[in-house]
Amino acid sequence: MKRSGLRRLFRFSSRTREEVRADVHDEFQFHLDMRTAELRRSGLIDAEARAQALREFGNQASGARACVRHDDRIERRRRIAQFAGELRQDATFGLRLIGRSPGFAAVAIVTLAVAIGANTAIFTVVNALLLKPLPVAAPHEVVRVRAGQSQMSWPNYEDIRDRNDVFSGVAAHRRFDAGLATRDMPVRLTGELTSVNYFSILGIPAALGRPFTPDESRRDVLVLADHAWRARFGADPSVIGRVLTLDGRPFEVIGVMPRRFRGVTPPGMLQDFWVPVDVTVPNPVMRDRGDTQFEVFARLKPGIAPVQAAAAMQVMARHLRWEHPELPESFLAMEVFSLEGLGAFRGMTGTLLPVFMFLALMTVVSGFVLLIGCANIAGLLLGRAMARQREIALRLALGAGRGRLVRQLLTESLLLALMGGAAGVLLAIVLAAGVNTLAWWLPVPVEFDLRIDRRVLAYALGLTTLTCLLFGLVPARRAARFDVVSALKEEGGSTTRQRLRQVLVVGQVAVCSLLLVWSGLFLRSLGHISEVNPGFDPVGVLLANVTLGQALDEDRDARGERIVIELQQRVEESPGVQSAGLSTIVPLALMGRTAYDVSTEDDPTRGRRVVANTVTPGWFETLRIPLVAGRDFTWDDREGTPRVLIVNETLARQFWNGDVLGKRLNPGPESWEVVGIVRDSKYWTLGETIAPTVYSPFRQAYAHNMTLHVRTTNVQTTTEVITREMQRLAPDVAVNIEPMTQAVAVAVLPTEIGAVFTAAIGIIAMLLSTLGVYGLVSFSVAQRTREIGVRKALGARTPDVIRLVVGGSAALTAVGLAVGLGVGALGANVLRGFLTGVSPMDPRTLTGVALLVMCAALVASALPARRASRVDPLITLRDV
Amino acid sequence: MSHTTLTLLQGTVDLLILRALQQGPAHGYAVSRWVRERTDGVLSMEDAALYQGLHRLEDKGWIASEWGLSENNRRAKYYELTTRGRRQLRSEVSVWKQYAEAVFKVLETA
Repeated sequence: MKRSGLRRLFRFSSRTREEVRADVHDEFQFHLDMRTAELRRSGLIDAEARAQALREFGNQASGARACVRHDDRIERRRRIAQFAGELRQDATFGLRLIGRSPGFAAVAIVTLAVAIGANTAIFTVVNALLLKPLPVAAPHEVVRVRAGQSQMSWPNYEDIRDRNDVFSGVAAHRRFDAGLATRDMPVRLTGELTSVNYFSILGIPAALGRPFTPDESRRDVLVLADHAWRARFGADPSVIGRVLTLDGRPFEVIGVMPRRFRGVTPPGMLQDFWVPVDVTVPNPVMRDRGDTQFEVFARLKPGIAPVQAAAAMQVMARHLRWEHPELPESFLAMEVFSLEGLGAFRGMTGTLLPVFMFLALMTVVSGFVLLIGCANIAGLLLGRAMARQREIALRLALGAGRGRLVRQLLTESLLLALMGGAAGVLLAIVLAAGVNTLAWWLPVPVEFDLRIDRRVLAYALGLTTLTCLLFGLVPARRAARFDVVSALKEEGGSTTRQRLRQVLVVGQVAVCSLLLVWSGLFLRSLGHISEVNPGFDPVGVLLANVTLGQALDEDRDARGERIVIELQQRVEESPGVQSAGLSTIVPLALMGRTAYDVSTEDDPTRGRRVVANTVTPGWFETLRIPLVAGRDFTWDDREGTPRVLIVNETLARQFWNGDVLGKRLNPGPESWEVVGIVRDSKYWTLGETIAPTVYSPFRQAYAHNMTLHVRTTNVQTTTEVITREMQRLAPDVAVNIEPMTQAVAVAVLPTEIGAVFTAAIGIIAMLLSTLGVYGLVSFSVAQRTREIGVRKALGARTPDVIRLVVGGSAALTAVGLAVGLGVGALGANVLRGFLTGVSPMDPRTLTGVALLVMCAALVASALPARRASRVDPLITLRDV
Repeated sequence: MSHTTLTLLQGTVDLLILRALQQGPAHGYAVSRWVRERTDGVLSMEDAALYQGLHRLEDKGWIASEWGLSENNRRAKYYELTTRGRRQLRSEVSVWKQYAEAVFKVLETA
């Protein structure tokens, strides 16, 4: 009745839907036939017997439907179980194979871990910068509103806020740095001055206390950021209600925002606090339509796209300019754009463009490393596939399906990839944490949100799968495709497979040469940096950043002006000081950037972008920036006397072909006379092209955030004098003193990071490709053992054999080098911006790298060459 | 024989199938015959319902099926109890007994 043999045969075959239906039909028919026969036996005639059987059976159609439904479910489960079973089989087999060659497995897993780890770490940063949503409610609705490249003045902000019908709310904010009074020296904090509706538009509640509300009546309230609350107040909840003194003014803490809330500032930037804009005090700035110092953002009404909002804003801009003809033409270029992704950085691309270029470069570079790793593993697997030819051929001959075989080989690759991927993610976490450590060196508080989220994990998993396919599919398909008969006859590797491995090795060598060239160029740039003349002399200059109370009312302006003048005069009189001066921008320190459009008298409609710096008399002398023509500012260039400017040579040349004394520029409605020309100097990077620059005198262009530059021979005394004078003049102001050489070192940071990064990756790449060359050569030696034996039997000597082996690898390496250097030449222009004093085609770097790579290839083939030279001709001949 | 036939509850069909298969593997027709013989036709069950029961129980994993050859050399689908099915049968039998005893007791005392 029961046959266990049958059971075995049928266990793993799953049936199609049609087969299931046919089976149910057969089963029913069998029953009916049996019953009919039985009834007939008991005496019924044929037709009656059949009729009764049918009657007893009941509704066949609905019964069959129910049976089929159950059977379909059974079959589906069976198919899944079968697949899982095969997968488990493959995995067990794969694990056994991996366990059998732990060395290979270790190399593969470490290679993958490094490659996937580096890529994932880079992606974590890209994710933090560009992909993570803004930490506000419904972030896609929040947009930046800007007039061209300019920020917005308060009166224009108010008009936009009150007269639009596309936004549900419009807020303004601006940076506000202030000294927080502590028991010792005041501490400088970075904050924002915001319109009172700021928090209600962003829609994020406070973690503690409350944020200010649109109907906030008090102006002396303050909301703390989480990190400032932790760092300055030890996460003490009783901070709510405390009164803090910022720049000498009292503010009551009413709330602490949740962790990672940073308003709408770009990712990575931190704010310490927020205070409401005080619109009640008499302040000319708040009434000046031309004073564009506020950033504006808005929340779109539901269903309104940024494009529609932009159109509406442009119409409004035309109205506003008609009402206020003093608005510049650039005001009409109203823009509304998302604050997510690249939008977060719009308007500050000037300083961040290099960062992005750098990130892009790093992504490409780490992608290369991944490629090299895959090529290596593909090479190793190709070798193993060939070594396993006989096993595979046997399985094929015994009837194993080719698809099944490919799947088995791929499972093995997947196992390796998964282990490598898991290790890679761990590595990425460590590497990404390192990025935040790096940020400590920057002059502004920076913290990236580098948590590994679902997106990063998906990326790592995708990479893992991709690498698995890259390094597994080609060898697996080849292994399964080859000719069974010739493989069983034991005839070594076909030429095509050998050629594929050669291509892989050439690719590896090319990528690693490229990386080494880049790191070489970065290193050489570092060497050259000290030779670059920035146009000023930072050696012997002391910096003291004195951010005075912001220009919130007329009275404070007058007080700030007195403080600055008196501070400079006191410092100048102290011993050891040669000269002193203040400016808003510290060159090459990545601090304080201002730029605006000016037009010339001759061409008043054309706005041209210039760098703008406000300086006091003596600043040029202190930095040893020579005056080419005209005069320096004096303390008599003040409010009430004719407005004057000094320009750099580049501006003089570009605007008027050099002859500029007495010409007039219009930064705003008034025109200012050029009274001096100074030599060009660099402001942002050592590699930059000099921008046209305008200097205004401090007493005609008051600025609150000034930095004192002092050229002194007695650092100790000068430091004491500055501290003492500031204590006396403005005890509530934070002062930060450091040598200018230290501040300027920040400008070298990108090159330093680039050098370290590409050197590290270049060395890893070289190790990987050396391994690749070694794998190829030693495998081909193993393959050609018999050929070498025959050669030796025919009289070839050891040097001939060595030449045969080494020559082959040298030729491959040379081809790889040529390709790598060729690509490097094509990409030279991308790199130019990162380099200082060295051409992207620097011959010394190129030769050095070529030598290094050739040496590595020789080392890689030394061991196999030795093995080849020891082949015993007799044994080989006997082995046939 | 009495001519009253009782309509079956679904749980009863399952129990009968499991009990029938306790003898060993059998095809659907054999199960049907076994039920008819053991109950003297008192419990009437349409065969369509019986087959639905068989397939349902296989779906539940209580019985397993395979195609084999019948006594008269025809292709027939054989069913047998799985371990889970045996366990299920034991528990259902004990539940049924308790149930029947309880009902019986009530009727006796009435």
